[in-house]
Amino acid sequence: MTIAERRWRRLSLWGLIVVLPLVVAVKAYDDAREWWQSSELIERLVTVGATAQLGGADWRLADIRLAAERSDGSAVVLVQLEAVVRETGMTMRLPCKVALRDARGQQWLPTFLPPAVRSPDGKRMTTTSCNAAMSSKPQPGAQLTITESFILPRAAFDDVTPTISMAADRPIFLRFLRKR
Amino acid sequence: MIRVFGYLLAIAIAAGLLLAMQRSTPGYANLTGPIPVVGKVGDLIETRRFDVTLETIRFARRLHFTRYGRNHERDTTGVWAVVTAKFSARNVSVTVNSATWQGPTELRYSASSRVENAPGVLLGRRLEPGLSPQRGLIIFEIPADQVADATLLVSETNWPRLDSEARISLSSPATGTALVADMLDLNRLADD
Repeated sequence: MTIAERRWRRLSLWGLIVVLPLVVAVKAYDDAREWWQSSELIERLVTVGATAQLGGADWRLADIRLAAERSDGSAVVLVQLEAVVRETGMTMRLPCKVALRDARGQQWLPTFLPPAVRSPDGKRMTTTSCNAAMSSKPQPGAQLTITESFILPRAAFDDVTPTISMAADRPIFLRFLRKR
Repeated sequence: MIRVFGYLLAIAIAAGLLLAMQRSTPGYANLTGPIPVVGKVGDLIETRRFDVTLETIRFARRLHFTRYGRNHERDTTGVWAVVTAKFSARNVSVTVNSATWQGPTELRYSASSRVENAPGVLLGRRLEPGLSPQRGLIIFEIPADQVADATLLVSETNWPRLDSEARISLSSPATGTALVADMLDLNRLADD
């Protein structure tokens, strides 16, 4: 083997150290991007009473209340969020995900809620879920009230905080602090 | 001459190795298939998002249940397998939608839709973390020769991709000695 051939062979072997990780990165890029955009990783805390911008709207936690307690130790919790739409094309940012989370990492997702319910104080209230509200193609300036219901252990109610994320804006999500 | 022979031999060996690697590489479906979590009846099986424990398995030729005030009866030319199980969510709200009876010849039978309105049916129920496990029934309609040496496959969805699938060994005796009741009352089982 000539000196030139030996040099090329060495370069090729050293080149593998660069090329192999590059191949893995190129092949995995699409999957990694999909994982990144479907996960809730970057938390934005929203203080009590404050609004925060997400997905073309300003969001505020309007209410979180215990609607009913059951004999098996579970509770029905209603969460109301208010949103003022700032941009068009909200439908393009769907689906939105509202959840209740506790400090241990447990997460409760919304259950089905009929279009009209009785609030704990007896008043009739219409309910709109987050996805239904966004699907109605709200225009800039529209004010939306979103109500979601959850079933969780009664003991967890005091510790949970509502969160919201929208598909086009993940991995960012909002976490609303509650009045204590 | 010897050098040429050496080159040809090296090429042949390399080709053989590449062929062996290509033939032994699992297919895409297997590489991205379910991640098994193995157990047996009575074990607490912990998958990624839910826990499952199988309690009992009963066999019958006919099933009876009452729903919305009406009596229903279901018979079969095979055997009804009624599995009693408990599900619970681990850290996030989840719904377990898929249970499959895999027989000794690896034929697969989904949970029967003929009794999906029966009381106590467990599949499709929402599970919430922190709440007590939900106990209920999973019901299959299977040929009599699929009873022995079967495995129950439980997952959130049919054909999970890179997600957990509980594989529970069902140690049931061969057909000839299995206790096959003439009729099972699902209302009584659901209330137990």
